[in-house]
Amino acid sequence: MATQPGQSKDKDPVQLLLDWLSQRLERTIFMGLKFTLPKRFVSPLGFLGFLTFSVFALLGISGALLMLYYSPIVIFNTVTGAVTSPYDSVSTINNSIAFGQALRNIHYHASNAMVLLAVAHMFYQYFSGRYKLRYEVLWVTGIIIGILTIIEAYTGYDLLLNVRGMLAINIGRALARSTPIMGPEAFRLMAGTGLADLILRFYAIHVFIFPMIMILVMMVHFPRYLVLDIPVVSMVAGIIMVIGGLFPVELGAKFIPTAEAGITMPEWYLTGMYAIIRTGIDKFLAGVVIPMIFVVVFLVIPFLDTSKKLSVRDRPFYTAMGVAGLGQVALTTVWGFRANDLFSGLDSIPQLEINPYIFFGAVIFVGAVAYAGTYAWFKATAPPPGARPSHARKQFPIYKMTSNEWRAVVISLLGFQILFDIYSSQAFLQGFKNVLLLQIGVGLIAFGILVHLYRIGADSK
Amino acid sequence: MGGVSALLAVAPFAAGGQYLIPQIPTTFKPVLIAKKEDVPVNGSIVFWFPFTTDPTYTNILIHLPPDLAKQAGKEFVAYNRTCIHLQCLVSFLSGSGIIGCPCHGSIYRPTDGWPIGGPAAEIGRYLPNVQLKIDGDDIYAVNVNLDDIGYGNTTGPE
Repeated sequence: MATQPGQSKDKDPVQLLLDWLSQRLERTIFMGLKFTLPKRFVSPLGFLGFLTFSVFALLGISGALLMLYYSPIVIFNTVTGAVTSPYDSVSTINNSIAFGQALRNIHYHASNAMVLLAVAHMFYQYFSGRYKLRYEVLWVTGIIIGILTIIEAYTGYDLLLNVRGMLAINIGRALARSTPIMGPEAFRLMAGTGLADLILRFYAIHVFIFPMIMILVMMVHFPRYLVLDIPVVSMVAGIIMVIGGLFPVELGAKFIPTAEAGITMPEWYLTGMYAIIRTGIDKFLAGVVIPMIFVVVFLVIPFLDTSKKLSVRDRPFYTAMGVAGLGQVALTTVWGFRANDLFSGLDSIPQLEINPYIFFGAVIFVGAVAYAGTYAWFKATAPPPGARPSHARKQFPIYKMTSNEWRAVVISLLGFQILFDIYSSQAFLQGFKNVLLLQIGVGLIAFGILVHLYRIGADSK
Repeated sequence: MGGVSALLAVAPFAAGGQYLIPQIPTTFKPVLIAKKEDVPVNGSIVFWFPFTTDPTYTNILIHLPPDLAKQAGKEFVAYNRTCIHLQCLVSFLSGSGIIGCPCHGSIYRPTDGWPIGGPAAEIGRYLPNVQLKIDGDDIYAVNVNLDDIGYGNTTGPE
């Protein structure tokens, strides 16, 4: 039967279905977003925001599955001192439920990755000047999502109710209670009438209230043009799982009121705040006012820097401010893990108290050095006067693989695939410990590489 | 005018904050916590009051030794255990006759709960006092100000 090219009969039924679907999707919000699937490698620095969102999605999936076994119930036995605690359910997830350990590790390491990616995203956009010139709403909503992300992570690791979580809860509610106006109300808003209420509230906040608010703010924060780089997304997920496989997160010690507390650290994104609190200055000042100053400075920057210049060199003041801020964050974050003496480890309780004069002196010093250093660097590397700024970016030539190379790569990747299949069946027989996570991670990284090779291969035809 | 009417329209909803901020009682049913002979001189016991939902509702009942009892003007004193610094739980150390916090080394006076050392001393508020009622041989816990727990009390025991 003779058919003309272009007639619908000619078309692959899958293609027909996709066409049908995409025409119907035109009626939805989904098509308002423009996804770009890069045909070649582009720097992930430009789409760190979308990577953060991908990890957020991964957290949503793993978190929803963890909810099936997590129990936010706290009951104290006043006679024996025993505690029925969410820790017990997390321990069950970790130790006895198939895939439980893997899911918990994905959830934990993805939370760290999300905070890290969000911070990297913020600083990259900051140094690119993408907070002004009609980016203001994107910038401000981004800062809000950043704060929500940190609080979300904070409520999450408290939900274990291990000794570490309890330290964070105690500091959090001591800060809430130290609010100068409506302190008791702020405390009860957070803690209800006690720890049992607090865990329930944190649970509701962690699994529903904050994710919902985050999604709503994200709807405003999403730019119209998105880069969906499947290889990089896949690699990020793979790296999270490889780290989860190599460094499985521990349960920590169960919180029991009668046990000695010892020294515990908050998560790394809170150690900066912890260091400030450890200086012994007023709690509210240390834990709320100083972090808020930092946030407010970032919030108002688009309204102060109204120049049309975008390059780091053309706005040295704001670049130097950013470098100084980054230096101070790094210093306080590291100091939170260290003793009073920054250069020695924290192993006894008296070392917890940090000398405020040395601490704030060092913070100001680092800020000043970073600030002055940025200016000095610009001065030392200034282009000769009269030179025209070059806007041409370095273009790496596209490497074109020969078809033999292409075949060899695919065959060796398939070989690896077979090896992983063998490893995974081994892991299956050995009872799904964290090896499984490692292998899924390596598999995802290999998948990412494969897709990348496919696209450059398809490009070089 | 418009602003005022908008405020009036919103005000009833602000009252809904009571849902988020639970109301707490200020008086409680007395709870029998110990018999006098249960607590030896210079000894202490831990008891839960007024709720059992949070370790910050644990308190210490101290039977003061004669010299301290003379200073305090009473034999039995009770304090909430939540340290006013960062909410760790304090204990009565009978050997040194002080109330100590294991986390950051805050020290309180057992006679009135005033912080005399460590980070709590810099804050300078009393450990919340649990009011007791002694009825013959029975010791009852009567009241504690819940807003002072983990924060401290500015006036101290009466």
